[in-house]
Amino acid sequence: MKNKKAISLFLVVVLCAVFGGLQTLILGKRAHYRVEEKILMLSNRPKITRMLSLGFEGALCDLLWVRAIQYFGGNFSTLDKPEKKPGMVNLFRNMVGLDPQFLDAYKFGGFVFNEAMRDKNLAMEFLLEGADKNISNPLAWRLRFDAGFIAFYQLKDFAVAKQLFMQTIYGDDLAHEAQVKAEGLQEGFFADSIVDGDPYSEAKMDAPSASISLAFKRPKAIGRVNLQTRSADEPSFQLSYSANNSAAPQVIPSVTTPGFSDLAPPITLQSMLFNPFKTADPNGIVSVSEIEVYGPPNKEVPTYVERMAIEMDRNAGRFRASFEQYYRYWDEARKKGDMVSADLAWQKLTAIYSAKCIELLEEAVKLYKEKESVLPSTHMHELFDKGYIQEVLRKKNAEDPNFDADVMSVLTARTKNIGEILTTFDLQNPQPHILIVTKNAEGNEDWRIIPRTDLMNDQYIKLETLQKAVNKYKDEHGTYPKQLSDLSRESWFSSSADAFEDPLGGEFFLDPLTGKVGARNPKY
Amino acid sequence: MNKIFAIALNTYKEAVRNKVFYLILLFALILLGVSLILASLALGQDDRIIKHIGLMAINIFGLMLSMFVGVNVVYEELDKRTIYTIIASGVTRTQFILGKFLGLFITVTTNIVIMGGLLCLLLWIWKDANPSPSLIMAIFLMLFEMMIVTALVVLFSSFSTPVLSAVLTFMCWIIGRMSEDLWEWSIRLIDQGAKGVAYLLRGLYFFLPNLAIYNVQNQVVHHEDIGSLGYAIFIYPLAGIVYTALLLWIATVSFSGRDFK
Repeated sequence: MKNKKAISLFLVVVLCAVFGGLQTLILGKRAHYRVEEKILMLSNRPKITRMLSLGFEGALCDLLWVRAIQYFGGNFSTLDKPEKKPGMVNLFRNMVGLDPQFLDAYKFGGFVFNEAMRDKNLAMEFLLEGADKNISNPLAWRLRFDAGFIAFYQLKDFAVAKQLFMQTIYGDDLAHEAQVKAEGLQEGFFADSIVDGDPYSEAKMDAPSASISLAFKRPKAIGRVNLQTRSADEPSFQLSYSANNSAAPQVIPSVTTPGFSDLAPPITLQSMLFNPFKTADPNGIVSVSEIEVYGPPNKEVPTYVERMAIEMDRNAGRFRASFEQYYRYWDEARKKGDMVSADLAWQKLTAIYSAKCIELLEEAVKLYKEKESVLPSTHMHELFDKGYIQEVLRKKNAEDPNFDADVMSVLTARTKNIGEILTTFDLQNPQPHILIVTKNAEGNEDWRIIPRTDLMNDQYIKLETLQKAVNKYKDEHGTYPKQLSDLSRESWFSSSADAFEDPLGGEFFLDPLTGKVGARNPKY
Repeated sequence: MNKIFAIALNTYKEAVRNKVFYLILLFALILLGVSLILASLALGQDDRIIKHIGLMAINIFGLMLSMFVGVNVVYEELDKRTIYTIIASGVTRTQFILGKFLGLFITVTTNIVIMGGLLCLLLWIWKDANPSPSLIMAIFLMLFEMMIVTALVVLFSSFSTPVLSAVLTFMCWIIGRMSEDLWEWSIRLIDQGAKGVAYLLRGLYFFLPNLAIYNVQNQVVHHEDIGSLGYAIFIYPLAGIVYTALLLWIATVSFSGRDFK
């Protein structure tokens, strides 16, 4: 009996050992298998996977989600290899096939396809598929936004990025699906160009008979209308709408001029009519380059998305478009009492305006230096007095027939004196743009043009830093320093070599009695 | 009516004494525990994973319980010849079948209520997750899916062996869960010209229960509206009750003609 037990025990131990050895051998062989094999086994037909889930789509989707996270973590740096790509794509396609409302799966998939697989187009396609399938979910805005961000940041396709950012807020431009008719078109122009999505194609019409109508198949909720014109003489018009085809048109009194018009609350309509047009153009010609029609804005979308959309115009070098949109954004934010957004918009406006002024001034300074062999003075009045600015503007007009409409109409909105605008006005404050001349390491002259406000901001920050240092000095020594340079002896005073240099070209001083730091004798 | 309740109570007591009941409950609880492990690996998807896996566990183990316990409730009475005593005491065959069904359904309901309660507790304890009213509704609707499954088990047990009953019930459950796909297949088959098979599938679609209508798991996870409360409380259950009545009627007819020898 005892022998039998001992033999049994021995057999168990031997069999366990044999099994363990075989298992290790098999595992050793399997180590050479491709890790992604398990993923590649997934069906590339999500419909079949869905059917096989027997109604537990969500649970199966969750298991795939966990698998995707684990797999991504272990293979991040090699997912762009062709043998790994199909498996990962299948994994995400199955996941969203099982649960098309799983927004995080689309978001994570977009990230993996873009960052790890380096397939930007696939990432955008996947994100937009998710956005389209969840169009009624306001929280799905992020998918279209992410797709827009890829278009902006990686593809540098600013037009597509802007379109996607705007769709993030307002959905698709509904004008594309409308039937458009235009009366009073001049020869060679077509109604379709008004809704083709290209703001550079235009339709010219005779103002007295001009009329544009848009008809939708089904009634739509409209939250925003944008009529764009490329003409310097902006026409006025009246927008009317009909709730359905048999209803009498009703006038929307608030929409009378080109640009964005928000309808709050949104109006449900089936057709809209832009007429009658009036223009200051002596020939009585109206130019309409584009009409965009959007649904009501998605309230879940943060305000920065609209700023990013406008920024795309700026990136694409569309000065007037970006300026006008920021201006509208600033105006809306101000009216709503959202001063943070208003301030941000104003800063952007100032930067856009100033950058354009500086661009023109730099060309004029180069021309001046070439012909006069010297640089103009700090305030650059010579550029206007001697006709250099005018020459640059003439050149710009010759190069680009839309320069007047796109740039000058904005720059000269407040005053027609372009010399004053370029050299003395930077929109935010009546502070001039100034020419700063410095010497580089080789002893040569370097020059740059900046808004004076930039220097004032730098000066303010430096003075504030010095004042704090003086106060600290008083706390430690019981008296104020005799001069500002005394601060540099303090171990805690860590500042750059130009800490005591006034950006405005003057000098910083310290009143040893009151401890007040100030600046005097500004050069600029 | 008293006789039906007496048989139901007896069936319930027997089922609860059965080790299978506790084994299934244990496995279900383990699966609920697994959902917690998965949730911790899922990068912010805790809520949906616990809900999905939890509801799946309740559903699958509810099905297993009604199958494994249900296939024996009629068979054992016949095998042990106790059916003679029951029939001799004045219980009709219809009352016997209804009593068995009721007892089995109460057992499954007990199981679902315990597991549903634990799932809600788990969600309530777990941070970043919470039991929503729609989760309770999902568990409530699952009861009616299980009611149909229980009626199917009783129907098949009334004329066949336990193994065959389990297989047939499982097949019906699968088809019931794929009902929508049957309809889609039939559309595709009509397009391909195979009208005969398509109409057969359509027949199955209408004849077999559509169990997918009681599955609102994704809606629960996505906090979607699952229809008006009245609809969920009355219409969905009514459909289940009507189909269960049909199955039980067939079961009683079948059992009435059965020779116990």
